[in-house]
Amino acid sequence: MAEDALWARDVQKRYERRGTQPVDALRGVSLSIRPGERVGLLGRNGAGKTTFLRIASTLLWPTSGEVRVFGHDIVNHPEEGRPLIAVVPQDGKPFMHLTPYEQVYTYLRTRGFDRATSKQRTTEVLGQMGLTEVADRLNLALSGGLRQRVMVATVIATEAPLLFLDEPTIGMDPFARREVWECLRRLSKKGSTLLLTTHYLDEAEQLSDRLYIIDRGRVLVEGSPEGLKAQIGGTIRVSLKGGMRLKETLATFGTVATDGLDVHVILGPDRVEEVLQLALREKLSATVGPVSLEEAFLRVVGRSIDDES
Amino acid sequence: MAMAYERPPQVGRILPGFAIIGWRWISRHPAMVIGPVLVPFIFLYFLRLISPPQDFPLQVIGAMLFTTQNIGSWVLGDSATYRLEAYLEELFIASPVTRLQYMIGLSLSNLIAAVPALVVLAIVLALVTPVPWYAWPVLIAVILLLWVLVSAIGMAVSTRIRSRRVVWPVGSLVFTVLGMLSPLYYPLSVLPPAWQTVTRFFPATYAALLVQGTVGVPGTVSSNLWVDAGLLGLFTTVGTAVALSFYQWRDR
Amino acid sequence: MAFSFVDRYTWGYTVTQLRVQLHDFNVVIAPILIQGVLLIFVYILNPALITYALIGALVYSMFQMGQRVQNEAAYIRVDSKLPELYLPGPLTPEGYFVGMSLGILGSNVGTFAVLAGILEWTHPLSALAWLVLAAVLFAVFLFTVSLGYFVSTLFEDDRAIQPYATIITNLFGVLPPVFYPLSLLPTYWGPLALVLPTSAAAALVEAAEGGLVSISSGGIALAAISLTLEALALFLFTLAWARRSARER
Ligand SMILES: Nc1ncnc2c1ncn2[C@@H]1O[C@H](COP(=O)(O)OP(=O)(O)O)[C@@H](O)[C@H]1O
Ligand SMILES: [Mg+2]
Repeated sequence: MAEDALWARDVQKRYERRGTQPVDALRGVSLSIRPGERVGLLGRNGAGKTTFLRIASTLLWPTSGEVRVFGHDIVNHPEEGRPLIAVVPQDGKPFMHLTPYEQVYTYLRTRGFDRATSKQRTTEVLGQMGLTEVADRLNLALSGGLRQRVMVATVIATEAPLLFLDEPTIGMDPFARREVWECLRRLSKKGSTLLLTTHYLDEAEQLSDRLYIIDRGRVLVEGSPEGLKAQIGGTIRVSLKGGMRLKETLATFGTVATDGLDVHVILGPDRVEEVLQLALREKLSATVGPVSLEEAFLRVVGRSIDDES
Repeated sequence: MAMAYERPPQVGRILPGFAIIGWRWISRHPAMVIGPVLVPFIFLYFLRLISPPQDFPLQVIGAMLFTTQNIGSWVLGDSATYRLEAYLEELFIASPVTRLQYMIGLSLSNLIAAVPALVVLAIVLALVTPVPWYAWPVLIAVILLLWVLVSAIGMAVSTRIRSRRVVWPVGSLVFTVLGMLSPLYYPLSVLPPAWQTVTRFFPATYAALLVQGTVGVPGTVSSNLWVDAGLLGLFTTVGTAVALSFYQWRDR
Repeated sequence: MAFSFVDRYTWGYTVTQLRVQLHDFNVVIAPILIQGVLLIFVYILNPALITYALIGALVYSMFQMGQRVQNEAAYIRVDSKLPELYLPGPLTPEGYFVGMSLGILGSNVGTFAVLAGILEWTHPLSALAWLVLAAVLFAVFLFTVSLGYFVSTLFEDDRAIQPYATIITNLFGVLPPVFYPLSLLPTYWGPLALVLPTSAAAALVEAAEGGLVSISSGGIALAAISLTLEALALFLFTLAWARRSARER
C-alpha cells in the first residue's frame, strides 16, 4: 500500500443538489496501481469513471473512502499529492488566446520549471505530438482534435509521476491517437504511472497493463486485457452466418451470443475444428478470430445488467 | 520509488507563466487595454458635467481606485470561464500550484491590463493638482492592497457561479455597488451622517480617504490618516482571508 | 415578406430563451439593483437631476438589453454551439435573433416596472410623456438588440467581447446626456447628442413632459427622425445579417 502510486479504498460519491434526486455515482470503488503501471478504467457512459478520476486527482471531494497518492492521504491533505500528479480533464480546452507553444510553456512555468527546462520540454513534446507545424498558431484557430492534442501535450510535458487522463484521445484521428499512445508509452518507460479512461477498446488494450471495468459505481472485474478476455470462457470466436437454428447444438461447445440470425460461439482453441466441421456439414459460412476486448467488455457489462434486472 | 517523490519535484517561480498568459491576452486583444483607458475618462467627463468642478482631482483619484476595483470583476470572469468552460482550472488544481498562487497569478495577469489606464490617470492627476512626492508611494501601496482584496473577492464570488450566463450580471452588481457607494467619486462629507457610517464598511472608503488625504485634494474630511491606513490593511487581510475561505479549490 | 420572421417558431424560441434566462434569479435581480445603485450615485452627486436620471435609467436599461443579447448570442454560439442545433430546422435565422431578443426583454420586465413605478411616484409624467416613453423605448430596443446581435457575430472567442461591451455601454449610456439633461452639455455637442439614439430618446421624453428641457422644434424633429431611422435601419440590416451570418463563410 505504501508503495502504490494510487491506492483507493471503498470510495463512495453521492452527488446531492437541491431540487434533484441524489445520484450515487460511486458505490465503493477500491483499486491500487503500482508505480510505473498503466491502468485503464473502462465503463459505459455514466459508469462513474470521471467521478473517480476527479476524486483521485484532488478535484472533487469523495463522500467517503480513502485515497492515497504515493502514500499521501489526498482526501485530507491534497496539497501533499498535488505536486506529484497532472490531469487531462474531460472536455478540457486550452487557453484560446495562446498558441500551443505558449500553452505548454506557460503551464510548465506555473508548475515551477525553470525557463530552460520549460523551453526544451515544450519543443520536445510538441514535436512528439505532431504539433510543431501549428505551434505558433492560436489555439482558437485549431480544430477540436488538435486542441485536444494540445491539452494532452500540456500535461504530458510535466512528466509528473502520476498522470490522470480522462478520454485523452477523444476526437483524434487514428494517426494522432497513435502518436499519443507512443508518447504515453515513452513516459511510462521513464517511470510515470498512468490512469486513463477511454471508450476505444483498442486503445485500452494497447495502453494498459491492467484494466478495471466499472459499472454503476462499482468495480465489476479487474485484470490484464488477456485475463479479461479469458474470463468470458474462451479466447477464440467462431461466427456462423445464419446459424440461429443451430443455437442449441452450438451452446454445447462454448458461450453463445446471437446477433440477428447469426450466432457467435466463444470457446477454447481445442474445439474450434469441431464447430467448423459442423458449419461445413450445415453449409453455413463461418469466420474464426481471436476474441476482442470489446466482446469481453460487452459480455462482462452485459452480464451485470442482466443480473440487476 | 515512493520516497523519490516525497518532495515536490519542481521548485521555482510560478508567476512568470501567469504573466505571459496575461500579457498575451492584452497583446492579442488591444480593446482589453483601450477599454480600461477610455472608460474612466468617459466617466470623468460625465462627473465633470454633473458635479462641482472643485471635486475633479478627487474624482481622478476615484477613477484610479475604481479601475483597480474593476480588476476584481475581470478576475471573476476569467476564473469562471477557466473553471466552467475550459476546465483549465483543473490543470492547476491537480498540480503544485496552490489556491493562493492561482489567485495571484490570475490577478497579476489582469493587473497588466489595468496598468496603462492607471499610468494615464496618474499623469492627469499630476496635471490637475499638485501631488507631494510622498503621496505616490502611498497611492501605489493603496492600489496594490485594493488589488489583492478585490481579486480575492472576484475569485470567491466566481466559485458560487454555476453558469457563465450570470458572470456579467453578478460581476457588475458586486463591483458597481462597491465602487459607486463608496466615496470614490465624491467627498465623504456630502453624505448624510448615517450613510457615512455605512460606507465605513466598504474597504474602498479607506483607500479613497487615505489617498485623498495624502494628496491633499479639496473636499476631504479631515481624519487620522494612520487610522485609515490601519483599517485598510486590516480590511484587506481579513477580507482576503474570508474570500479565500469561500473559494472552493475542490468540488463538493 | 414583412414580419415573416415572426412565426410560431420564433415564439417558441422566445419562450425557450425566457426560460433559460429566468433559470437564474441573479439574472433578474442584478440589473434592478445595478440601476438602483446608479440612481443613488447620481442623487448623491446632484439631487436636482433625479428625474432625468430616472428617465435615463429606463433608457439605459433598455440599451443594456442589447448588451445582454450580445453576451448571450456569443456565449451560446461559441460555447454551446446552439445555433448549429436550431438553425438547421424550421426556426429562421431572423426568428432566432428576434426570439432571443424578446426572451431577454421578457426576463427583464421587472427592471422596467420598478423604474417606471419610482418615476410615477417621484415625478408623475403626463399621458403624452408616457406614450413617448413607450415609443422611444421600443425604438431603443430595436436599435440595441440589433447592434448587440451584430457585434456578437464578429467574435470567435466570446471572452474577448467584454471589453468592447464596456466601451459600447459607456459610449451610449454614460457619455451622452442620458442620465443628465441636455442643457449641461456644451451647446456645440447638442446636435450630436440628439442624433445618438440613447440621448435622443431621453431628450424626446423630457421634451414631451415639458418643463424638463428646452429644445427647439427643429431639435425635436432631429431627435425623432434620427432615432426612428437608426432603429429601423439597423434592425433591418441585422435581420439580413442574421440570415447571412447563419452560414459561415
Ligand atoms: N456534478 C454532478 N452532479 C450530479 N450528478 C453528476 C455530476 N457529475 C456526474 N454525475 C452523475 O454521476 C454519474 C457518473 O458520472 P461520470 O463519472 O461522469 O461517468 P462517466 O465518466 O463514467 O461517463 C452519472 O450518473 C452522472 O449523471
Ligand atoms: Mg466521463
